[in-house]
Amino acid sequence: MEEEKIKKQAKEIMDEFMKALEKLEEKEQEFGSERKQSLRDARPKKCSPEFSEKMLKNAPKSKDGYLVAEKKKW
Amino acid sequence: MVASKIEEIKSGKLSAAENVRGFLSVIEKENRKINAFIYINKNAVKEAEIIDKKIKAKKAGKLAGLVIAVKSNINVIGMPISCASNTLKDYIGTYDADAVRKIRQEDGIIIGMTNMDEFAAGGSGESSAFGATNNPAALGLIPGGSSSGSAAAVAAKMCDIALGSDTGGSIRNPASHCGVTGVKPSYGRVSRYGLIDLSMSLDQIGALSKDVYGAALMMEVISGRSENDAVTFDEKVPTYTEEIKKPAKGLRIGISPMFKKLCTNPNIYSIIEKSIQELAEKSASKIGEVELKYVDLAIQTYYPIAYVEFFSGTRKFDGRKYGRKIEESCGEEVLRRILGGREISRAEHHGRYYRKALIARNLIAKDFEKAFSKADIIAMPTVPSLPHKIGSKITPQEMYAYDAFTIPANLAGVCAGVINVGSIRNIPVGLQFMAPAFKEDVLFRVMAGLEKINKAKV
Repeated sequence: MEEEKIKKQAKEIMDEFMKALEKLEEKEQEFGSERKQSLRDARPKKCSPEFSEKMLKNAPKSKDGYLVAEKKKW
Repeated sequence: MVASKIEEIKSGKLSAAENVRGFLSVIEKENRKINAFIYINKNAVKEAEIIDKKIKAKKAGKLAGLVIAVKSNINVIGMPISCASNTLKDYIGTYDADAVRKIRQEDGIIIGMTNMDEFAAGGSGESSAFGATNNPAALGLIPGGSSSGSAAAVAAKMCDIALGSDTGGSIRNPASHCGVTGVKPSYGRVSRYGLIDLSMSLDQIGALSKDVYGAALMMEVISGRSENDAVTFDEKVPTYTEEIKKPAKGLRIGISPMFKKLCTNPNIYSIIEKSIQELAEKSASKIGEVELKYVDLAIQTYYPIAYVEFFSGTRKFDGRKYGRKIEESCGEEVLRRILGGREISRAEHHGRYYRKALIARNLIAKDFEKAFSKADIIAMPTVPSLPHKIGSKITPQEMYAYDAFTIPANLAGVCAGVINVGSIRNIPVGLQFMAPAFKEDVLFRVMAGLEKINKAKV
């Protein structure tokens, strides 16, 4: 199926679902949960050379331990 | 079964290496037909031999010698973590997910990576770039999804236990269709570190096994707080394998009249109803109605959240650091969720879709909270209909409808488990239990109680 058709279909599905939710009363609500400690200690972790090597093996292009990516293409 | 397998390994009747070889031989014979595995660990026997030495020295862990299959969206170092997609076809795991690390610490052996719906976005096991998985319990029919390969691997006796992930029913749905046991833990119970996300506020890693003991053992190993996942809680993890030895007695079993309405196949409902009644009779428990006012809105609530979070989560798949650009390499359902998620999260909608869905989610969660003040456990079907034939043409909405009974647990953050309770024309049917958040001990006790009742009948 072509992209435009898929996009249209996805929007239609979402609109159909929204109709079902419209009956719900909209009140200001808070989302999330309470917890005693929400932040972990900021401890920087060193990246091992083995990890870098493995990561770069997955890269389409790398040079001298760096990832090579085209500029301004996003 | 898993407990007796552990005894055999401990006593030396079966070595870890023999256990691995046994499963490899089944995989060799059956995987072409079932397509449960995408990748097999070539070092599995060697790893088992090292564990055998630990067993002999009595220094082995809880999973010593057991063979574990892992869903292809959970990172395992050195293995392809493809999410069954062409986008990540050549991506090799650079680290172990927390769950995998814990399995290794307890001397489980990873036998390979299982097939799945592409990026876990599906409920049939058909949308994999590596081809559909077949249902070992009902050949020619879908095994369910998205943890299709993990459920099929357990059902086809290709491993002892499998890891899956569950965002809206991806462990429980295939567990039901393949006739195995599957457990989705409470949100925050298991670290998601190393799990490639489908919908980050709903995803959990869980277990599939032939029996309740196997699932309980795996959950005992992989549960607990992790610094790597900020949403994991500091709740104590009970020894589930001990908990299941305690009798499940005097329970308040909750059911909702809505369940019968939502179950499109009345034969499935009859099996579920009969099983709940049997459990109540044999465990001196009471069945009572609970009110779940918004449970029929679960699908409409879940999908806008899943679309938006998936769109957000997939922005990293731009093909620069690894893999290929997702929009250019994925299948239809994945693209539908990306494009749909992008569209409804546009600024012009002012969060209309996502915010409305979050409001509904909150109402569903509160519904469950209230229901659990009247019931220890809620029982219901797993999937409202039987699995379709592989390759059947069905609409996205029909596919989404498969999740009607499983989604509520993810939205409410509670734990849920599935156990086989019968079949229709030899197609397995699973009963689903939901328990309050972090009450996996209760969930396992009830599931083990029902398993015992079912075994006594055979």
